[in-house]
Amino acid sequence: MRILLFASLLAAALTGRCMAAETLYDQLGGHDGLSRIVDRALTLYFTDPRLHADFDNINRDWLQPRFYAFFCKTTGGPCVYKGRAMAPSHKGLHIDQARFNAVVEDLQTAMDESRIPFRTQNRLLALLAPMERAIVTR
Amino acid sequence: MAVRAALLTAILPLAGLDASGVVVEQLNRAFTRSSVTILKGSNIRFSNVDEFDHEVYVDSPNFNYDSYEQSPGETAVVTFTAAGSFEVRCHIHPKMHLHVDVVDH
Repeated sequence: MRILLFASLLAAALTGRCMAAETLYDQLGGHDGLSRIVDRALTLYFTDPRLHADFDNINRDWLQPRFYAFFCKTTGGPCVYKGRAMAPSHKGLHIDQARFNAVVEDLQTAMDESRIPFRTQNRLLALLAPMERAIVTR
Repeated sequence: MAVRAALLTAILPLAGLDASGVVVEQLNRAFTRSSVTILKGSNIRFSNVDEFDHEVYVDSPNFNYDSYEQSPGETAVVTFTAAGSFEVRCHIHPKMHLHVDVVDH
C-alpha cells in the first residue's frame, strides 16, 4: 500500500514537473544568468563603434534595469516591464538595418560568452525577430 | 563711479528677468541653452522637441526635482523655489547640462 502511494506521489510530481515547462528565462540562467548576458551585451553596445551614435550620451545605469526587465518579461521571467513598446521607444532614433544587425550580433556574442546553447540563443532571437519591423525605421 | 558701475552691473541683468519664466528646449540630446538666470519662484519650461524621451532632474541640498520620463512633445515645468546655483541634467542623456542661477527678488 505504501509503495503504491509513493509511486502515485512520484508520478504526480513528475507529471507536474513536465507540465510546468522550463521557460526561456530559466534556460538563459534565470536572474543571474540573464543579468550577466544583459550586462555583457550593454558593455559591447557601449563600446561598439557601429553603435556609437546610438549609445553615446546614454546613461547606462538608467538603461540597464529597463533592458533587463524587457528581456526578463519577453523570455517568460517574473518581471514587469514598464517601458514603452518597441516602436515608440525607438522612434526618432532612425535605426537602420546595419545597426540593428550589430545589436543582434553583440547579443549573440554575450550569449556565446555565457555558454548559452545555440538552440536556446535561437529561441531568444526568434522572439526578437518580429520586433525588427518596429525598430528599423530607415 | 566704480560703485555706480558695480551697482549697474548687479542690477541690469535682473531687470531683464521675467518672473513668468523661460523656455528651454531639449533637442538632439542637448538643452538649447547652456545657462540661464531666473528669479526665485519663477519657472523654466523644458519642452521636449526631440523624438524620444528625456528626464530632467535637479539634485542639490536645497532643491530637488525629477520630471520622470518626459515623452516627445511634453513640457516639464520646474519652479525654482530656492535661490542659488543649480545644475539641471537629464537622467537618460548624461551630457545634457543646464546651469541655472536663481536670484532673490
